Amino acid sequence: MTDFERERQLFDLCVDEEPQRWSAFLDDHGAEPELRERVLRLLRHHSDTAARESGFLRLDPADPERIGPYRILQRPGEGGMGIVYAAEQREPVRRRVAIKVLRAGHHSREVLARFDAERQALSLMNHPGIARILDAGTTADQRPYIVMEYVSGEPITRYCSQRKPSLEAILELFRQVCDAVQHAHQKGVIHRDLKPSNILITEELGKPAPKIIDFGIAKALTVRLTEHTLETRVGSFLGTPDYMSPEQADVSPLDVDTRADVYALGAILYELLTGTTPLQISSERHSWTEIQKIIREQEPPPPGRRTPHKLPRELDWITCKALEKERNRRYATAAAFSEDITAVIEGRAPQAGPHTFLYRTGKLLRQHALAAATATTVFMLVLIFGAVMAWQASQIARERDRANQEADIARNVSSFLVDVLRGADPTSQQGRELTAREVLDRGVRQLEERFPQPNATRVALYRAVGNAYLNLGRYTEAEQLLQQALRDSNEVYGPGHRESLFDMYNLGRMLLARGRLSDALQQFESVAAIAAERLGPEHELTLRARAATGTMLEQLGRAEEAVAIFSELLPIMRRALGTESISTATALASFGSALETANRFEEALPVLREAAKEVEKLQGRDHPNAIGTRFNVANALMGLRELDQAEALHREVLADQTRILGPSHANVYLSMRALAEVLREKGELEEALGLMRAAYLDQETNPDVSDFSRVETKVGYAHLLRLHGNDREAEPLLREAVAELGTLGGDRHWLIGKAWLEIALIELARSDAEQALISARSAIRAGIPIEELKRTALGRLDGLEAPQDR
Amino acid sequence: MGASQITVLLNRINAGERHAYNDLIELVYHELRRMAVGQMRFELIGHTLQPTALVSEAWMRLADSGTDWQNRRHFFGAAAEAMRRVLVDHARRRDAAKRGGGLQRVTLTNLDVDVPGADVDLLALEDALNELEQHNPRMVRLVELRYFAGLSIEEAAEAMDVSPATVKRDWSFARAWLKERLDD
Repeated sequence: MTDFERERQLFDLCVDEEPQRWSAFLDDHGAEPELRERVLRLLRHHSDTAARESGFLRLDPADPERIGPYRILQRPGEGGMGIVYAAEQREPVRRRVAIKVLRAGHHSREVLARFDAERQALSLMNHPGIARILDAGTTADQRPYIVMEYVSGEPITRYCSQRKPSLEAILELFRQVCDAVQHAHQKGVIHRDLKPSNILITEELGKPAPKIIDFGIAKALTVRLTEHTLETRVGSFLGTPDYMSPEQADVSPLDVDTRADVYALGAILYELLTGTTPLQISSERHSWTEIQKIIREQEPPPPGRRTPHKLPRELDWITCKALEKERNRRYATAAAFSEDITAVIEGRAPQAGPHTFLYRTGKLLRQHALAAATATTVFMLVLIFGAVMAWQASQIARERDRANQEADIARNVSSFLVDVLRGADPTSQQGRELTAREVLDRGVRQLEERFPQPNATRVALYRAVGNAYLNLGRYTEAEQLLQQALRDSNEVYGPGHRESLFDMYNLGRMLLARGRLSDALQQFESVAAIAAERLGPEHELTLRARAATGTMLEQLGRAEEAVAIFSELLPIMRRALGTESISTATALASFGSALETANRFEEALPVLREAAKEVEKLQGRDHPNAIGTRFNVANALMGLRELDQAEALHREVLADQTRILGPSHANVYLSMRALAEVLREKGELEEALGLMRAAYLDQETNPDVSDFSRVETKVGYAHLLRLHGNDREAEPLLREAVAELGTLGGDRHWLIGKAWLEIALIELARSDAEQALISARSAIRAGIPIEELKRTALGRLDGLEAPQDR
Repeated sequence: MGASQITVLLNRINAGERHAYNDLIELVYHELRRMAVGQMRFELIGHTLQPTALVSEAWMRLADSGTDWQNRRHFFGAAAEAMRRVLVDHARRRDAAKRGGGLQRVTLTNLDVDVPGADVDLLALEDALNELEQHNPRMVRLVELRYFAGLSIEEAAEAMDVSPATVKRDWSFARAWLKERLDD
């Protein structure tokens, strides 16, 4: 027999015996000293672990044998100020009880008073789900104690993870817990430290039954004073961070009411459904301030996202409702929570509805997801551009009678561009590769030299070069050139002519690119009106201008109007333009975006997917339009919380865009922001941050990038930094962004508002409420709806209601 | 990769082919690794891997609903071993990348719980398991099933085709033995 086997054998023999008897036993079996030692160590390991498992540690010699009429058996667990024993009662009935007694030495009046108050509260309660109080008294050395029903069982989370009961069974158990908590609340008792280890599952009459222990008393007795825990603050109660509600984690804690318990219940339900707590907090890795921030601001993904098991959507809604940061939005009572659980068990619809869920997603898209909003912007840009080119091509193809004239123009344009690209300018710097920008700059100079008078060719050239700049994301130059094209058009063709309208249309795109949405809307509306009159209501330009109008409305948040326009427009487009029309495909894509913006994600996704297919078919997979549409499909997936799919698709799109457009294009940064958003939603904050940091640094040092795009990235990066707890770095970036945006164009702009919002949150976090209010008002002035602010920590600021409108 | 491949492999295992079991492990290993890489892509603060969730998910993906208990046994055995490899590989890579950072603490209480957490030094556990393999391979299988695949006592008993009581005893000893080694 090997040593190992011998150890095993001895271990097995001793393992069920009382520890005191091990030595004797081993001697009896003739174990040599060394072997004896090894086995003893193994046995101790075993009993330690077993003890910790069931919560029982060995008795200390210092423990008393009796407390009052109760005989002490074991010491189940302890807190800092109190000890809990398992004891035995003899008279009048023999049973096990739990005794909680204050540790010797902690006798301040406060503690005693508290102990007494809790004892009284406990004695009011009478519910099968709450461990009952049986007796109370004072020990021989003047320490108060409470005798409670002895509850032997497993913490609810361990019970569920070990036994793996059905979902229904889990919900049933949880419901009972809610009912118990409700009972306590009705008696005026708030637990304040609900967590799985306080909710044990016992067997009663063969059925599992939950029992809440440590009601209230835990609060007074289990404050631990080691450096690693959080309870070092004077005067405030601190519980386990994982189940702590935002108001409990607050900078200056408000009155904690029953809804704090509702939050904790929500966190417990979350853990039962997914196996993890909603927020990833570790008191060892995070400082208290970081933890506070996480609790207050990090949005946990709905449970359905966190588990491979399929959960009914209703459970997502219910859990998230209980976990709302804003306590007004939670269930008002544990009973309401319980009712909704019952509804799910019975297959009915709960009170918590998709409104809550989509509201969060809506909030996501509007407030947090800069990327999503601007995604559609850039996508639309690409679309219009592509469509315009196609339209031009189709125009040229169709009107053969004008072919000669236009062919001439086309020839001129291409030969000119070829010259430019060949770097025929003798003043060029020799021996160096020209950047696209330099080529274009040079091209523009040459253009003006070669064509000093407005004519058809010059118009086309201005357009072509303007579009080229647009494609490079150089919006300032693009706008100048396209304005020039319009001026020329008006002169050459007359205002209201198809060509001039076309240039007006291009300018609309420009305005859009610069974020001047209302102006762009007006522009497109003008084009649509004039075109409808001069060219006919089913003329392609009319239709495209109307489609653009729809997209602008969507961008301005007037999603329902946009949906209405597209619903009417698309059948006309199909009829007038045929099935192989890129214009229709792109309008379809815009329709999808509008549906997205209207939070009608279920409808949006198939529309976008169809649009992506059509665009790809007509223009190829690598065409910016196709990529842009895929981008929007990814956004829709994100809106539908299909985060894995959204991430995968965003990564693909990012790779495509980088490959085709080069790493410094505005679209690429946009893609990175969108991907960062998905990652953030998945809780992968580190990667999101890394991505945004890279995008930010890249853009800062890249002169070819548009200012607007750069600031967008900056704000997005700062936002993530703040979420990561890095206010210090985030704040200066945000203030820079605000300043830059000020010079770029007006102070009513959602991006400015977003930046102010972030600043306000930072200021609030360092207790500067006054400043925060000012910043919050700036956010409102810049167009952030007040409801959005209310959903954040800023909602508690007084005086938020009154934005100073001038 | 899919259900049919698994079924074929399982049939081969049932037919007594020795290599088939290794092939199954390989197959599951790749699937798990792919899934785990998705979860472990970047070193994140507070990131916890959920091997048991991965194994469940792999099971759902790879197995037919009609797969019987005999085959489930093989699958989970393979999955547990594969999961262990995935985790150890990851820990090794991460270890290599670390520059003298403190080793993770080694408390074995997590062996009581389904899910391995950051507490356990996976590489040390790996060494200990390899040592245990020399003495009692069946215990190692059990630890894999309980710790890496997250099976309960009853499930592990089913998977190993022994009684729960036996499993309990083996588990008590194995755990104590490992803890002894990890405490050094």
